[in-house]
Amino acid sequence: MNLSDPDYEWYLQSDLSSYEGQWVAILDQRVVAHGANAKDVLEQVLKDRPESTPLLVKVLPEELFVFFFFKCI
Amino acid sequence: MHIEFRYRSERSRTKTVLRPVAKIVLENQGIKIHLSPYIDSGADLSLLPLSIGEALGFVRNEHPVIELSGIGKSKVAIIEREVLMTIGTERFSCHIGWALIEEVPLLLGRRDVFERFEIIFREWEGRVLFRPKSEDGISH
Repeated sequence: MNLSDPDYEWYLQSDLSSYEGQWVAILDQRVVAHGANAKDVLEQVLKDRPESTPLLVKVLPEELFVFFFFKCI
Repeated sequence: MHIEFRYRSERSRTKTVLRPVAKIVLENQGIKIHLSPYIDSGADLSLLPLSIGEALGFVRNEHPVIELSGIGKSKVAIIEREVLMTIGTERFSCHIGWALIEEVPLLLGRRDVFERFEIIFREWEGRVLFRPKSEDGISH
């Protein structure tokens, strides 16, 4: 099943490097808000479009990453 | 029926890398947020940076702080929380690690997720397939 979410598809194709380190809200296949704090970014979008469901993404810095985390027991 | 996610091309300082990204919905206290985390089979549990937890209505003082270890001696303080997660048509309760710092990536880790889906990374096709375990006829 391809979920064919237009905003997800747009995110896959987009160069968001100018937003490095920031949260980006994508709605209707464009960036509608961005900033350092996800809550502020989301509130910024919902203030104008309270019923909308933007896709929030965090743009990584341009470094090579190895992601893994272990829970310390 | 499987759910298909894809790899995203991202720049690093020295080259372009492909990283698998999912589309999920997290819910807490009636707040729903659509997110695109990196799919990380090496992470014990999914990880949320500080401000996304705040957006979901989390508060710090209710739960014990524990530490996650990463590369070398690096550690990240987290609070473990339970949220509703939706992947495709599957909606389920999921434990996540809410990081008490912002400087961590948004990760979809194994706990409560990898046991619900057969996950196939087809790196050569730029696709990741999530097949709900419930469709195998295997009880869980």
